[in-house]
Amino acid sequence: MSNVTRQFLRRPNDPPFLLLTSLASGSKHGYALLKDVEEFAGVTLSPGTLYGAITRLEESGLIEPLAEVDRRRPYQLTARGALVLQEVTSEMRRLADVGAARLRLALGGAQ
Amino acid sequence: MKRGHDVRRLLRWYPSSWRARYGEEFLSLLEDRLGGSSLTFRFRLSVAIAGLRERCNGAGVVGTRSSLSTQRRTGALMVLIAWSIMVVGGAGLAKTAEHFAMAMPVRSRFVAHFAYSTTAVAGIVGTLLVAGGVLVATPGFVRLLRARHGSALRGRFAWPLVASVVLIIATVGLSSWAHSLNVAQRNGGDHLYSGAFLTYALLVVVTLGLWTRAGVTIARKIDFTERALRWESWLAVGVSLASVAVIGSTALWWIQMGLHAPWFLQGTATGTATSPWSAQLVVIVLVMALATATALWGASRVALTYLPTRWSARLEAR
Repeated sequence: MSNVTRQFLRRPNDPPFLLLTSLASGSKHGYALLKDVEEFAGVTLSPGTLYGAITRLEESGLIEPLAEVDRRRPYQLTARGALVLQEVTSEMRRLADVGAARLRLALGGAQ
Repeated sequence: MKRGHDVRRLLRWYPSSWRARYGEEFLSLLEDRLGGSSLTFRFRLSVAIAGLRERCNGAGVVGTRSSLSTQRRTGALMVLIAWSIMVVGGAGLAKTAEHFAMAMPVRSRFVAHFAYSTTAVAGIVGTLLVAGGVLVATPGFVRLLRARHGSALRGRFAWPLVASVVLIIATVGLSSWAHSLNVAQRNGGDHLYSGAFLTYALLVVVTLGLWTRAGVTIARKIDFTERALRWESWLAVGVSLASVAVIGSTALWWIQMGLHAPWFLQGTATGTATSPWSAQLVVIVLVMALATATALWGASRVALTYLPTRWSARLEAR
């Protein structure tokens, strides 16, 4: 894992990871992000947490702002953000595979 | 209309630079989130906490988003603030512990004496280190005065100077009054004098606070050289160690007094009290604990910036 990945994305329910995942399906403004994260992850982010994550992701160059529409500013993934998300999801998939494989072994052993 | 005003007021928890960049879109999000419902305490609290976190991050109090020099400067200033708090606790201890040896059996005095002397020496060492920090900052301060011609900075010293003059006058007045009273009157027998002494103690705290605030404000504007900042950093680590010594030796002194002369802590006649708990001493130690915790936090901020990047990233991640 790269330093950026390690710094921001430690757990699957880390707000930065959830935002990157949400933005992977297209640009969204703050409220749309909240709703989307609630829908796909079942996690309710507070506005303060959401904007804390947006600030950090933008400072790290993982997302970028688009032109403001009616006081709402949409954000989109940058190429770097997409790469980081890919790296994190691969790592999570690898760990999930290990877990699943070991669980199958453990179940097999118990039978 | 009123709710809109209240929601906008929530933005004040955030630093001005953040408000300038994200303020309007954040407000729009808050309004969308609230819909038709009213502002709850929980909602306000969550925004306030996020705003304070943003301030702390920006100022280098927590996190690694600010530059290394900002983290070092902030860490050193946290230690300065901590030492001001420690001075208040130390002054309280000095007043509480006045003539303590006389209340103790002769054979039990040694450890208490040693502990109290350690507190005093650590206090002197810490103060000298703080003075060293002021000396190191002086060339930068002079450069700042020249660059801004002093006019912008003069206002920062107005209130601390006024408070200091009032404090000097109060010191002279209170000392003269104290000389006309006997020991019993000075130690709670004269209620008017006790009230005046409390007011005087409050004035000392306010004056110290005003000078500390002025010092912190000025130090944040000084353009420190790399070498000066390194010196400030290690002096700050030294002051934090002095804080640990102060609270450690104070605790030892308290234990000794509790074991051998609890009546002194209670302010009663020799041999009459057995409880080592004194409200005054509890408050003093809590103040010292707050100061020590702040100092250690500041010193750790400083020290982490000098560790190799790999180590500090690992420690931050924990």
